[in-house]
Amino acid sequence: MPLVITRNFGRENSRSIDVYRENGGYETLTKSLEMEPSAIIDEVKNSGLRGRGGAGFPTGVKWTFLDTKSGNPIYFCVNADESEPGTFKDRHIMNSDPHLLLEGIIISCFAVGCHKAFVYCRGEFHRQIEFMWNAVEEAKAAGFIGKNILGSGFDIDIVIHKGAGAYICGEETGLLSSLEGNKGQPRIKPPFPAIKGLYDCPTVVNNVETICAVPWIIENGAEAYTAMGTERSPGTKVFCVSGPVKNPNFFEVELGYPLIDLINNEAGGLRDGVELKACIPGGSSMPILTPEEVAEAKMDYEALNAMGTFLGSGGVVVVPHTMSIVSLLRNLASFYAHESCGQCTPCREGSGWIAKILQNIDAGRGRPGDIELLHDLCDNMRGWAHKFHPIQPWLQKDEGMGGSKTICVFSDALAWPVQSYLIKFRHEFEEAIANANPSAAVPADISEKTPFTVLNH
Amino acid sequence: MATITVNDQEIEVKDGVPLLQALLDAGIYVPHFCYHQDLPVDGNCRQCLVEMETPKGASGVISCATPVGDGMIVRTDTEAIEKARRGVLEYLLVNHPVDCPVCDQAGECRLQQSYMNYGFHQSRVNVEKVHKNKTLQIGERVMLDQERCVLCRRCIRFCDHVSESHELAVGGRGDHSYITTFPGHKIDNKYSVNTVDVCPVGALTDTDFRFKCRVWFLKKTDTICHGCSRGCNASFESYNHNTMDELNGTAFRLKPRRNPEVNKSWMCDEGRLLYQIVNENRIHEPRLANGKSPEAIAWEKAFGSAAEAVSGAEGKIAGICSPDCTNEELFLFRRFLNEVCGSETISAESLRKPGYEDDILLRADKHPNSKGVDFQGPWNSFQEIIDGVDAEDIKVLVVLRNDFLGLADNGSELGEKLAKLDALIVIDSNHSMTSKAATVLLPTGTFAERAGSYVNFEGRIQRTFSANQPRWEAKTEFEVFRTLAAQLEKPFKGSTNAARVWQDLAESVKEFEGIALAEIGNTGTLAKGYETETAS
Amino acid sequence: MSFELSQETQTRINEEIIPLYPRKKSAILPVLWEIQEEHGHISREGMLYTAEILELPAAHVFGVLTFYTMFEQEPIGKFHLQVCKTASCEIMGCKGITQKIKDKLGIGTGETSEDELFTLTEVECLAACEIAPMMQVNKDNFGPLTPEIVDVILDELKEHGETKTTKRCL
Repeated sequence: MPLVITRNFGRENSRSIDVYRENGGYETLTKSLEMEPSAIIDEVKNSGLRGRGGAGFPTGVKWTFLDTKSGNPIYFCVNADESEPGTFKDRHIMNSDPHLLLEGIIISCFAVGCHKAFVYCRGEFHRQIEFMWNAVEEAKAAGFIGKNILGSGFDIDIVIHKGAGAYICGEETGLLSSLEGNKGQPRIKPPFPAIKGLYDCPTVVNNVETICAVPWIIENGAEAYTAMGTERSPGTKVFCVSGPVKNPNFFEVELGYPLIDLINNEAGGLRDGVELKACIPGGSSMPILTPEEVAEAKMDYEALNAMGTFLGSGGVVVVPHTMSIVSLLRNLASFYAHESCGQCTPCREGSGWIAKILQNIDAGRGRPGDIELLHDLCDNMRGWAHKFHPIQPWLQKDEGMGGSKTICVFSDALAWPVQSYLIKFRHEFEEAIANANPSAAVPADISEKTPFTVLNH
Repeated sequence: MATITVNDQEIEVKDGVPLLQALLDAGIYVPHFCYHQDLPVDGNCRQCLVEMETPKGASGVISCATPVGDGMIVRTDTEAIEKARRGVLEYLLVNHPVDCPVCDQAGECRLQQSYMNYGFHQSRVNVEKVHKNKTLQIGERVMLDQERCVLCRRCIRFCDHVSESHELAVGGRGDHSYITTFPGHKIDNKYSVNTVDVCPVGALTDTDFRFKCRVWFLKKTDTICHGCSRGCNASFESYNHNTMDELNGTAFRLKPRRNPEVNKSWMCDEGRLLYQIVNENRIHEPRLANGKSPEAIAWEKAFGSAAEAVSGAEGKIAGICSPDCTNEELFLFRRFLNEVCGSETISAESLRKPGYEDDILLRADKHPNSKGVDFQGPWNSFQEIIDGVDAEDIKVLVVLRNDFLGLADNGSELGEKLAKLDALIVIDSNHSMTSKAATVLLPTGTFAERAGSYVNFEGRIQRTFSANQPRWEAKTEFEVFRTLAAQLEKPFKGSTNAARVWQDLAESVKEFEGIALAEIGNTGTLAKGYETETAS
Repeated sequence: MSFELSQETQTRINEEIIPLYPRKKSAILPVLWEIQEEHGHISREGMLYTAEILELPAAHVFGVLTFYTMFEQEPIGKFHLQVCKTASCEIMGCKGITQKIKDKLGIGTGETSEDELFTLTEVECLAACEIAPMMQVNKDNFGPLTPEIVDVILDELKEHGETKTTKRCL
């Protein structure tokens, strides 16, 4: 299987532009600049490439939504705010092949008519940001970034923008808010970024991995891309496997690859003495899978949807028999409570409440009725699960309508794990509650250390 | 206009407005916190959820962020929506401190109202609430309690879009978010108390009103702020408990009343404090200065002295009123001078200097009725009258609501000239330099104790209503003129009926011609010839 | 206490950073980073400086700064030990790592050691799950950790100002 994203990894000095060019780098850019921009968009559309950040929206289609008649400049934002627990592919891409990302950006910007691109990189990626800036300087010196690049008449500037520690800046409108200089709080959609995005101008937001696929697609053609993967999930994806496996790492495989093989072959299988209890298939926001489901699961968007979960960012977290599901859920709920932007009521208050209830259950202070309470709280914060929504089956109810109760899907990203863990591993929660002593003293610092600033007024 | 179907009923609504506003205008109440008619939409409270039909089926949307479209099919009463509504309410109450017994907002708190109407659930909260700062005085008039805050951000939107002073922001993230100013800074603008008004809960409260009175003891009367020529529509709130309570009539606050043409939902901080003159420094009973210090007397004696002074003057009388008077007062005062005192010499000039003006609300002209004075000319100038006093052509001066001695630069000089008068009859509500110099002092009601009308700077006629009869021994000015006229055995045409008085006015003042009192209503109407003026 | 930024940094802010963005306001994060890089933290005066050069309300700058976790309003230790505590790291034993640091240095989370060398915080997923349990020391990742490896790292940082035995992971 040809490698689309990780082809240059492992080469010595792979970050250098010289090494990149020695292996054919920037030749596709040269070729693209001679194409019609609309032809590039068509190629990407026909390849069926889907967003690799988590949502899985067809990339080429997203590009066609851009309002090209607004008279405003078009902006391109690359989402390098990789913060979904279990995911670390973008970090490796920026470590090993920053020029692939740049080439992808330049080709994509040329296709959509954008002259200014931002790479929004999470603040914790200090070294990766350094690598990206170095790569930008190298590309400028070689004439791939700047005015009238390669004599094509096309201007392009790329800015690497450093975040400062907020998971919600990975949500596309949260990213745009942060980039504009505000708190990274998502916005009400519609209007969508393709119509009104950065500075109210038409904007495309794409994940790092998605853009890195573009050079290969243009070089080898859409058909070559669709030859891999499945019909509705073509191509390859970089999956990340972590947890107590022998070889935790990232692996680029075709979509549709069996999950059990990913764990047992590529990741070397579970460590000695460790048994599989559960597996998160696509990053912490995705409903969990039992070992029986893991044996059946194929890693593509449709197959996982049919099982009631999502491919998401492809961050596979292996949960061993030694890990209490109650503790794991408590851990994730605390994460979401800490990362909630705080804008809308259900998520802001609900995430904190859910986290505290789970902290209580995990610490032996659970109460009867807590499970039902958690379910109800999740129901009140996640979007309605209308027919055919992947979580329908395990929710076992048809809510008969769509729409959402919050501004963005962060609340769903909390509710899906909570409800799926409560349903599939209910016995662990029941046991924790049965053995609990609810009147045990609650320690003073029950909530996670989000230091509350003392205000001087 | 657009036609939408709400709960199976077709209604006509204004096109392009938020669906929530259309529903509220049609009388269908949808609970909400963050939406405010005069602030940009935020959509963060999620309380205004309604169900809308889409091609894919029913969908829950927030009505504040959904503009009305012709043919929309909306439901506000489905089980799913009711559950979502209760869910949001429950979430708002998770960390909200149940401070009601000590919170000023009780009785006018949106959270209380929503809970009583849509929640009424038992609390399921079994975890420690998030604690934040309480009693932070972030402005001279604004007290902040961060725990009570529901983070609707109306206060921030006000400071960003209306006062454009940008003092407020949300600090932190998640359920540890809090409203704050920059550390060490205060809310420092002339409209800060509006943030208290827009706050749906007791997070922002007015320091002037703090712990003073429960709102259910307050009676609200429509009035017009008399602080400047903008004439912001206001609501005068005074104590009104059982009939025996001595406190009845005590003023507690002035709050804005919404008028999209004049002041939207806002008032300046200064104007709000004008309620204080209803309580403080009032002239309680008539006084007579017999060449000695003024002594309190009964009305009978006061009227007698005044009548004596008037008849003794034999027409050498002048009147001074001001643009603080209502149109009705100006009209009746002139009639009193002409028909009862036999004088045509009258001034409505005020010595109050212009003050601060901005393009939000405050106007430089600090009188509520300058335009009304213009309409009812001609007037003599103030100087003409003083010259007349000096030359002893004027022996008796009748003053209605004009503290010229207090406002003049040359007060003592004026005072000397006034000593030449036989009588200085002052009709006013509060003590002032002029009232102290009066030989006959007749107390009347404040702005809150009379009904009338003003004309604001752009020609808008606006009505003010009376909360109660004048307090203590004060009488309405109409009562004063009528009784004096009777003492002097002269007829005096007037009425206690506002419509009759207005009709009288409208027949004499061309700018009021053809305008019925009902037309003015509670929101005012533009005077004749001013219809094309737009509000600034 | 007056706030001063080196001429070099001010020049970089005005001539390189602000011009990168179509709107001045967008430069708020890079400017705050510059201040934190130079001073180690962003004081009240630093926020006011940012508000002034970017023509933003001071309250806005405060709101933005307190939204993100990486900006420090108070000085911290020379080595910021940021131990990841989410998902895979907890599965792989981050609690033992945190406890080791607490015991060895005698501090709790959010606290700085008396010699002002080390500050310990627990942070959310650092997107380095393959080396779980891990921590970021200032700008570099170290993992997979064991309490023993942590011991060596802390000793070497204290003694040499850098790690010698344990290599950083990119």
